[in-house]
Amino acid sequence: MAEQGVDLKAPHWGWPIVLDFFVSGMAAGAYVTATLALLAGGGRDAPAVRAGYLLASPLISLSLVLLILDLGLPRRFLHMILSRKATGGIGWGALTVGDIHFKPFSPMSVGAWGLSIFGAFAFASLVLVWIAPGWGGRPLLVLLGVLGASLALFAGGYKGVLLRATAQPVWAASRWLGPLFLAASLSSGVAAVGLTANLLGADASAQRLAGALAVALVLEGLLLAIWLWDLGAERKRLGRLGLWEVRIGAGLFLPLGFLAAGWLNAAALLALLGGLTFRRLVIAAATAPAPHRELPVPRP
Amino acid sequence: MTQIQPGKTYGFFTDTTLCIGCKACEVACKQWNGLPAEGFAFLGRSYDNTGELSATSWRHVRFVEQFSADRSEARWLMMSACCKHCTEAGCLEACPTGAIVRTEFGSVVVQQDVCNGCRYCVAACPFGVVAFNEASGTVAKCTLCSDRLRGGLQPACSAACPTASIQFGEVEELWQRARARQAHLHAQGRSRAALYGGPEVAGGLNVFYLLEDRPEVYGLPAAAALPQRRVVPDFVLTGIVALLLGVVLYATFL
Repeated sequence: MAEQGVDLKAPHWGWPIVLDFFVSGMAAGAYVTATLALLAGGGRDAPAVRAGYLLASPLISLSLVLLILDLGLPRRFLHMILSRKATGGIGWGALTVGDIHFKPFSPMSVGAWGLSIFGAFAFASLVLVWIAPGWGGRPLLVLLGVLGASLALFAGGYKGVLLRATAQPVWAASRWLGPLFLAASLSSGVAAVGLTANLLGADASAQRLAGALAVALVLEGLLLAIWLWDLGAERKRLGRLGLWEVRIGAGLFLPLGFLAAGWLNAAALLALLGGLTFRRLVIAAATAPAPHRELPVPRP
Repeated sequence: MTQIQPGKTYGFFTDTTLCIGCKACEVACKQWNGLPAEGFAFLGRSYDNTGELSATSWRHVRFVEQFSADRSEARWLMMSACCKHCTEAGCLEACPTGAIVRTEFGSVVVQQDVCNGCRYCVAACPFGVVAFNEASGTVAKCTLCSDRLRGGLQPACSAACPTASIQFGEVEELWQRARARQAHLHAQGRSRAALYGGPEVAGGLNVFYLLEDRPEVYGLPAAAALPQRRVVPDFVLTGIVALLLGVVLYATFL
C-alpha cells in the first residue's frame, strides 16, 4: 500500500443520531429559555414560558425514540440502564444495584440517565403549565424549572463530551466540543421558542426572545471559533470547510442580520437549520480522512 | 505449553519479523469461532485481501507493501492483528450497557446477549478493532478464545501459527520473551526492531508486537490514551460554560 494511516472505525451514526442530537439540544435549550423567562420576567414573559415548556417534553421524548430506533437491537434499549449481566468488571466506578447500573465515566451511560430524568422534569413542567395550570402555584413551577434547567444544561452539553471521549481525531481534539454543543443547544432552543411563541400568536416576549437569540448566536459563534482554533492540526480533516462556511454564514451571520432587521421568524428558522447542519457536520467529521501521507521506504 | 489459570493475565506476543502472511491464523479464528466468509476479493491496493478487522474477521494479517518512488527498492512487512485486550480499554469504559467485560483471563469480551448495538465502543477503540455486525445487530471482536482458555487450550490463532509469530502466554512472561527476541535482533544488526504495546499505549496491551518500522506504518497509533480520561475535565469545563451562558441569557430577559 502506498499510504498507511492509523486504523480507526467510525460508529456510522446516521440521520437518526443527527436528528437526536438536534432535537435533544433544542429540547434542552427550550426548557432553559422557558425557565430563564419564568425567573426573570415574572408573568411578563408567559408566552415564552408556555412555548418553551410546550416544546421540551415532546422533543425530548422524540429524541429518546430516535436513539432507540438507531440501536442495532432496539428491543434491548433498557440495557442502557438495566441489565442482569452487568455486574463486575464493566468499567471504572461502575455502580450496580440489582439489575440497575450506572457508569460515571461512560458519557452515554450518564446521558441515558440524564435524558430520562430530564424527560420526567420536562413532562412535569408541561403538565403544570398546559394541563393543570396553577396547580402547586408558582413556587412549584420555579422549583421544577430550576432543577429541570440544570438537567437541561447537562442534556445540551453532554453530547459534546460524549463525542470527545472517543478515539476519533476530530471529536477528540478539542475540549471545547462540550461547551460548543451546549451553546448550539441554547441557540436552537431560543430559536424554537421564539418561533413557537410567535406561531401561538403571542408576541409579548418577542423583543426579549429576539435579544436572547442574538446573544445565543453570538456566544455560539464565539465557541465555534474557539473550537475550530483549538482543533489545531486536526482542522485539516474538515477539508476545505465548504459546508462549514455555509453553516457559519447562513446559520449564524444571516440570522443575526435578520434579527437586526426585526425578522424574528426568519432568523429563528435559519438558526434552526444552522443547528441541524452543525450536528450533521460534526458527526460526519468522524469519517474524515487523514491528509495523504507517503511513507518513506527505509534502505535495507 | 502454558498452564492456563483464571486470575492471571494472558495475551499474545506477535513477532512481526516471523510473520510470512500465510493467514492460517485468520482461517483458524474463523473456523473455531464459526465466523462466516466475507467474500474477500482483490482490493486493488495490496496483495492482502482481508482489508481490515471486522465483525466477522477477528484476525487480519496486514500486508505493508513499501516501494520507493522509482520502484527500485521494496519491502514487505506483515503483521497479524486482532483485539489488543488493552489494560485501559476504551471500548469497555465506553459501553453503556455493561456488555463489554474484563474476563478472569484479563481479556476484554463483548457479551452478545447484553449488547444492544449502540456502537459507542466502535468510536472509542483507538485501534479500529470493534465492529458492528449488521446481521446480529451487535458489535463483535476477538474474545482471546475465552471458551478455549476455560478448557485449558490456547487460542486457535496462536495454535495454528506455523512460524511462532503469534505466541500465547502469560503477559509478563511474554514480555521477557519479547525483550530477549529484540536483543537478539539488535545483535544481528536489525536495529529498527522495537517493542510496541507498553504502558504508553492504552495503559499497556495484552496483545503486543515487535515491529520493524514506526507503528503508524502498521496502522497502529504511536500512543493512545484512554478516551474516558477526558470525561471529568470536560464535564467541569462544560459546567462552567453552562453557568456563564445561563447568566448571560438570563440578563437578556431582565
